[in-house]
Amino acid sequence: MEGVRIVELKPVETGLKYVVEGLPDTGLVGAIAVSYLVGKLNLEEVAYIESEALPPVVPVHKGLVNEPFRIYGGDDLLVVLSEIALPLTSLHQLSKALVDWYQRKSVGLVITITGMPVGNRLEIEKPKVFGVATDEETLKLIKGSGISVFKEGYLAGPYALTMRECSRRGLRSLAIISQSFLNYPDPGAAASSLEALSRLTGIRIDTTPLLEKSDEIRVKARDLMRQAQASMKRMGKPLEKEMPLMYG
Amino acid sequence: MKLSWIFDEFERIFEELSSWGLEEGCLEPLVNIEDRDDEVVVTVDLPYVVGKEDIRLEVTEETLELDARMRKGVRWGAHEQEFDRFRKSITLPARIDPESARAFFRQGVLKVLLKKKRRRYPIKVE
Repeated sequence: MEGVRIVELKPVETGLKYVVEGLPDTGLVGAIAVSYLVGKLNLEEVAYIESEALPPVVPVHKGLVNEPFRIYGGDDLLVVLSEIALPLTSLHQLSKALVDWYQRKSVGLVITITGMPVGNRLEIEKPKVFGVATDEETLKLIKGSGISVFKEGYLAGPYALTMRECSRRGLRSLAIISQSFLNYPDPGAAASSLEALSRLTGIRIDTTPLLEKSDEIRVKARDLMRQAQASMKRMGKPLEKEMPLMYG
Repeated sequence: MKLSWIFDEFERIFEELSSWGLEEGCLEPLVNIEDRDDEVVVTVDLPYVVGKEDIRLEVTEETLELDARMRKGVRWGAHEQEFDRFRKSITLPARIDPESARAFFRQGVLKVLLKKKRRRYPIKVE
């Protein structure tokens, strides 16, 4: 894909079962979830995404410069995370390049994690999770895992483009969408999403430490949340509260 | 009209800068302001703030000021400065009735409801 390069630091196997994407978006649900997943499963960095469309920002951890947009790998699993909010102008190119790479790697199922803003989030103790799929077989997997189906509406943001691109190429994909705050980092919603991911894939994920560290995560994620707010304003997020014209 | 907008913008920028009280160990919280038909709803994310007794709020017709104590200090930024409070001064998008203000604190998020002062009155057509 022109303008975007996925640089493999280590050989990445083909035929892996799952890719899990969690990019900065509503409540940083996906970003928090995959970041936790990488630590919890001790995944190692296997690739990074290079593009001139990304802002000139690099994260620093323990005095060392890191790539902002990285791919981690483990048994039967790849995890995609970004430590910077993605500019709207870069999203189409990035999602095409990523899905192109997933296809070349013959990934079995592409899973995206995101949040769905709800006005009464303050009153919700345990956020509910919904699923949406690109094909009937994957929809059956969602239903069979006891996850409610997101039946009608719009998807907006990076995960919407990933799903559309997967759908066009016949690559199986689903989104785990958790009720969440729009503008505040939401570790509770991330925990609900990871529990759903666990039911879908069989990967065991203990979310107790994530919930215990909720305050720390909310403080640390403030700057990324501010960046994501600016991007979300431009990517049609308000549409997610609306209904499309055509009904099935 | 144009000049007034510039002054408002300066005021807003200075307010934002002043809420980053680095020397005082204050963090600026994430804030969301919703301008509804008859009320302004302000929500504020306050991690590490445990109870309502840790929050001080003051309201005028045009502003809302918040000071909240964190139960645990956090080290933040390149200089590892410690922060133990949230502080924010907010210019409201409409004039409100301060006596109508109500506030709730749940799951570490503060919600303040402020009724707008009625500036329009219906005229009966005879």
